[in-house]
Amino acid sequence: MSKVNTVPQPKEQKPPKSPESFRGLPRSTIKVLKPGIFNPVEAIRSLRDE
Amino acid sequence: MNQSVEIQHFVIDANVVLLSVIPISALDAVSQVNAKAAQQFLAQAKLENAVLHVPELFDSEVRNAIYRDGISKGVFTFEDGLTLAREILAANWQRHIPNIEFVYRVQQAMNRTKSTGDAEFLAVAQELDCPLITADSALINTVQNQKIAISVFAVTDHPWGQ
Repeated sequence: MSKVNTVPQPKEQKPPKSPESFRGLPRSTIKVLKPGIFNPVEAIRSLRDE
Repeated sequence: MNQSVEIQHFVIDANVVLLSVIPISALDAVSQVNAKAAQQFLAQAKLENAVLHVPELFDSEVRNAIYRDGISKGVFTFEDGLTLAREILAANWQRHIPNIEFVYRVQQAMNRTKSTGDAEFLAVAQELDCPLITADSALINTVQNQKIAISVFAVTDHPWGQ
């Protein structure tokens, strides 16, 4: 019995998923122990200036 | 007649996200001004079904900033800082590994010798051809002064932040 060469079939191509839209993020209600000192711009800037 | 609605895309700086989420009372006076604009921008982004993109570096910056400037300085407890970081990182940001050549070319154009952090955000904006929204005026000044052709908005200047 002769062997049959099988050609691998391409997998089904799925359409690319469109990116999910932003679902929102509420302002946190966590308890603040030391008010008035957090500066997010400075915090990130200092990381990038290292 | 079908009307197609154009979905808007933005790259969002980690500082804008932190400004919009950290309790107002924790923020210093300067940050409180930007915080309102940051929250308005993100609220409008939700309403408009915008897609918000970040480089993978974003996660590390959020983790670092909350620990270093929040938990370790006693602004909030370890548990609350952990909760805050988890909430931010669980949101549906579209994360990207930026094209390294773009990162290096932007870094070079900015004449920077330190971290490539700014360049990573700018490289994603360049690759996706969409604006970067930031609260960092130093970053905006550098982009303008070095004549870098990537669209960058201060969150306070963008119509969604007003």
